Amino acid sequence: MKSTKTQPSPEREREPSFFQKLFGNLCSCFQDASIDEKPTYTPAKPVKKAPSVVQPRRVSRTLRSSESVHTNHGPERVFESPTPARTSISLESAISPNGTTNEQDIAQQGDMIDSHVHFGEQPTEPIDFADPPLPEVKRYGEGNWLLPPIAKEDEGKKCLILDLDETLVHSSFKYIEPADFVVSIEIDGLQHDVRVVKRPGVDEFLKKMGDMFEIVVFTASLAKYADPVLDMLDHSHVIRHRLFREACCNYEGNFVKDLSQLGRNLEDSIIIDNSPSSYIFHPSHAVPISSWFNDMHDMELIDLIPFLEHLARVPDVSTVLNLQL
Amino acid sequence: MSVPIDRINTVDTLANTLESNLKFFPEKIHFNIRGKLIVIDRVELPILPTTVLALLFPNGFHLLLKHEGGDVSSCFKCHKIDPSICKWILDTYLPLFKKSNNAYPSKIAFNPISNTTLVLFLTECCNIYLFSENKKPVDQKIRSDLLEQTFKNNDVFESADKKKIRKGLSDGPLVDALQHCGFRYNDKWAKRVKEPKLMSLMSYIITTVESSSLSEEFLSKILKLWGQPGNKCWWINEVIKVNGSLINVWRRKQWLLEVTIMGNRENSQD
Repeated sequence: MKSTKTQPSPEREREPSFFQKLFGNLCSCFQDASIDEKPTYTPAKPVKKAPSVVQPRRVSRTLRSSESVHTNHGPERVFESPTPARTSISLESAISPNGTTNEQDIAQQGDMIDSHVHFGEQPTEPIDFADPPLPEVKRYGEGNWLLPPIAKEDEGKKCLILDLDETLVHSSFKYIEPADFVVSIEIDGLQHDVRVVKRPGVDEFLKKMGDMFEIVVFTASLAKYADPVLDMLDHSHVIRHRLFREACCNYEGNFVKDLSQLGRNLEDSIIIDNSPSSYIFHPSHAVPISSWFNDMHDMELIDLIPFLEHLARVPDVSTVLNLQL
Repeated sequence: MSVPIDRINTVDTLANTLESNLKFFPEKIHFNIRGKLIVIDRVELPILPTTVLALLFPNGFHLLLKHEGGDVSSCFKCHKIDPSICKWILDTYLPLFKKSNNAYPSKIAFNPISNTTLVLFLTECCNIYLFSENKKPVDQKIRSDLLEQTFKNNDVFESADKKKIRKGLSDGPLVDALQHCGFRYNDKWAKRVKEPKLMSLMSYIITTVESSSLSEEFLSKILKLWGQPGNKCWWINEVIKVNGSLINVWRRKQWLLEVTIMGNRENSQD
């Protein structure tokens, strides 16, 4: 039977998205891309090893976004259009002795779904925005790296790049469960409270990883949200650097974290992210982790520690993480 | 690269979109799955496990409304699931529902479920990471052999002599609960495939259980997984000796368990 063909959608004629236009000009991955053409990813130039320069010893601190170059163009839009996220259910929590579903729980689950927000990460489709452009990302050295030269205290360590949302924490605008902390952010002149819950084991994970790695948090969220969250999360002060949305590349509608732009040797770079599209450029340097929303039985961060301890000792992490046969 | 199996589109969005737009989709939906043509009736979409739907339609169903997939020339290209797995699901899973009406997750609060059959769909993704004693890349043949060895160890639950590896995997309440739902301790995966050219395996098993055989309390728990898969992840470590050298083998095993209601027996079309 012949299928009925629907009328062509006006969306077929849609112009390149805001991000395609924006990153087509700003992101180095799209060098020479025309604003009128759909950007395609151009392979980055051969990766240069970060220069081995002895830096004067300095007090270890995290570079905040406030120290980056900002260009203000009126009200900012902090978040992407929210994509309803499902609540993660642990098999164990589903069957735990205290886990009983009743009408109230079902209603709450509905509310939970509605209230869970992706803070700017991974839109499922390119979204047109009329918002002002993102702050210009600060670059370092002749290679225009995203990170400054490695600090003396981190020399010899590998670089561990961590995603934030649904990897280390989950955030929501609504009261769902007791929050570990609440951050207040301004959106279009109004203050909003964001309730943040930490993934189980995150404190121990960060502390132990901080001993072994140079830790960079790389998130596709906006700094005005992510910065205060990290301020409260990183009470051990182990996170050396923070990178936000403006440091990401837009590739086919996804925010991609290009490790070759960091200014670190790729063989020493590991990314942990719940979104495979974030590391699509460097799958051989990625450790997958499941998305986390509210499952207090989750042990994945803790279980990762011994694996990463092994990984910290290999000369080239891709020899382990590359699943190719 | 193996795709983490829980990285799927919003389940509720999928379900809601599907229910409200099914009649506007092409009657036959054509897929190019890793080079194989597979055709699925649109009426079968609501019955498929949501984990499978998410792999087939990672960006949702909006393209179906534009007649994408309606014929061979506009096949949906899908590389996230093995075609033999997809065919196995069509041949094994769908027939379970052919003579029953299917209940949608959104109707959970309204449908009586005391006299029905639950279908449990369990998926495992297993990635294998190898560390050599000398810190050099592990030889290709050794990698292939280890993958084959893991592939042949087809037990759903770790065998008894490996309890020391992960006690929770073989002794925990999770396993007890699964056995209560129809899984057996000695079950083998019903379908297992190696991902192409990867140190990665995908495994599947389906079981059914009568709702009347479960207590109300337990039933209410397991129904949390109706249309909303539950997940569990393990990192399992084992040191083995190959040709006199030690190799540290890490396996990341991730389970997704989804429950579907077969439908009320009194409404069956037997």
